[in-house]
Amino acid sequence: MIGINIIPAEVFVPRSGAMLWVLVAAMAVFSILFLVILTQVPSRYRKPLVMAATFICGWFYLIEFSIPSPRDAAVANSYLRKAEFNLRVAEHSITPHYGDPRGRVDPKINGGAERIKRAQESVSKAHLYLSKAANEIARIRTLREKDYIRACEDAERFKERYNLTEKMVERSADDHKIIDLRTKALKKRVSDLGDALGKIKENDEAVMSASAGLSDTSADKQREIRGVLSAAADGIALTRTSISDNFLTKYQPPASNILSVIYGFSIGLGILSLMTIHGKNIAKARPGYYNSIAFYAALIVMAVAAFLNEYWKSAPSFVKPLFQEVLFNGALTSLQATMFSLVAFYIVSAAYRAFRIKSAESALMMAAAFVVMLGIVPIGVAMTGGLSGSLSWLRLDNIQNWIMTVPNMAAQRGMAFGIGVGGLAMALRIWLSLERGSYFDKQM
Amino acid sequence: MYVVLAVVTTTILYTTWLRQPIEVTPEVKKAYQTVEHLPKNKIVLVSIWWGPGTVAENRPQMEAVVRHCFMRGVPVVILPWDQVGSNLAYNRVEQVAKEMGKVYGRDWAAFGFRPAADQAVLGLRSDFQGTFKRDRFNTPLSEIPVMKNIKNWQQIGAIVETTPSATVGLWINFIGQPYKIPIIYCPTGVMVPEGYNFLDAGQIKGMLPGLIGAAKYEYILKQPGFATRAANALSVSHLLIILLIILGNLGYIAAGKK
Repeated sequence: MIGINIIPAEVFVPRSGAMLWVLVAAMAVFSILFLVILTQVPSRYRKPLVMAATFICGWFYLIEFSIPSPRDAAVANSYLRKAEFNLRVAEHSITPHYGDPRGRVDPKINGGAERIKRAQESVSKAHLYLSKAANEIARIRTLREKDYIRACEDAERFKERYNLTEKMVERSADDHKIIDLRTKALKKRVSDLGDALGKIKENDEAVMSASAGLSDTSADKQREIRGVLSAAADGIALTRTSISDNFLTKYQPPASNILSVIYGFSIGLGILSLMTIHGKNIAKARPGYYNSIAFYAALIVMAVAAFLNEYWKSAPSFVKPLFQEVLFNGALTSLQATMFSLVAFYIVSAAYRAFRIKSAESALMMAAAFVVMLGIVPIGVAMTGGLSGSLSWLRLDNIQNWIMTVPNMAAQRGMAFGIGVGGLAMALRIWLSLERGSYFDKQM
Repeated sequence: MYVVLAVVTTTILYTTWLRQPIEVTPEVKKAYQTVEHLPKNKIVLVSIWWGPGTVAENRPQMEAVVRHCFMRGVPVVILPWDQVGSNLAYNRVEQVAKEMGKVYGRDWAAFGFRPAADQAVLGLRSDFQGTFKRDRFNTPLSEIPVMKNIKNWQQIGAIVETTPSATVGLWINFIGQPYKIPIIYCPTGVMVPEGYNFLDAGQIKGMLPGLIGAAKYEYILKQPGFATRAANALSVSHLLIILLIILGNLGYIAAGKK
């Protein structure tokens, strides 16, 4: 990656002129050669090769994910996580719920006194954990400062050695670079820890100052305290991440670039596959071969027009509108919109099939669907908008909201857990190349 | 039946005098509050997953939130993951920016289509400039005022996810949860039910549920637009479908449930 980064991108990406076409041709030849070489790999080696590549690549993200923070910050991180949790509990405790007076938690009703007490206790706990985190960070900062001073002394010694011994020039230069990198890393670490310490103290002071007013039960004061608690919890979460980046995090962008290139190859392979299938259809004049001709026509016209539009600077004035207005907005956009618009008409017949009253369950589903369909649109709001006071729960929009936020959410969560476990199993199977299917069942 | 649906919805869509009550729901209110409290020195990343298929739902959502950001002076960056949606989103935001006197590069910017979203999102957390490098016109980010100071996640104020698919998890996992950056979720109507889980868990800060969500947002902004008109068409089409289902069931019962 270092090799790629030090060469200016402009060398590889000419924007116009003959060099561009040379580059396009060279890339096409290179891609075809690469694919040909891959296909020439004997079948018995191909699967192990894919398995090894998948397995090794998976390790990067696994390790990056598994090392949540530098080891020295683990304890502080844990205290900060607890402090953040308690601040969020406190914020939630003084948030008005259903049954509270408008905009505030009243100590006299709806368990308000207990909730305010819980908020006070949570703030005290958060303060305790923040103090512990601050002490811990101050401790490790002192240690890293000592390391930094020691590393600087080492660097100085190497400088002297570099000047004194001619024979050691090359070797000591490399060593010096390493030590220089180490001093830079330690300096940054000390600075990050110092910043984190400052932010923790700042948030702690804000929370303690605001929480002094917790006994004040006015809506404005409670809103203000909630804002401070929320901001402090977010601030602490940010502080946690600022001391948590591990040594692999910085390699994510190059990894991202490599994967983008692989994604580009997959698009190329997809096009190649489509061209092969449709080419055979045309060559053998199979039924519906004219659709394959349409595919070729669309592919070639769009590709050529896009290239001309992008790179033909001195093109006649009709070229740009041809691509942008006729092919892109006029054809592609309209075709895609038409495809999806058909769904509206299918829904009408699908809705009838799904909502035929065949049993009690289907009747219940239909009733729920009616309420949701009406409650979500303005006309539903208008139909029952007159209901107020103790009857307001009968309003269609309120029932719709209840259906979406209670039974729907419970069902969705159940499914999400199932999908999550299934996804984990599937990810492991792919990573370890245990997955069977059209890809691995066939001998490549 | 299909003709009736087409005629009714189209007619209502272009009827400007019809006004129906719009009730702003908590998820939309939260989205509004989130944008209202965004700092002006951080960008809002508007993620575009949609294309012409769902333009009617996702574009008004995007437009409403972008309009609000412009009203507040919060910089906006358009980040498309769909080839066709890239142009559609850019053209619309450009129109809105012109209406509101906002300048490309200073108040907003846009990337071109970018594949491999998951890798890009992972990369932008620690090196925004290195991950994207250039905007949609091939201008280096270092030359664009609104983007030249964006180094990593710390300069991102919020994510606005406009999508017809289950893509919000990407932002929640890699940006929202680790760095506590607020996410506003703008799904199409069919994706709304699963959005409530994220909302309840605090993983997204607000949601514009489908087209009606955009209409509610326009209502809060006091800027009625396409979504407000389309909400009327939505009302009538829902009523029509309910009516057809009732008629169908009556026929089904009359025919002896065959």
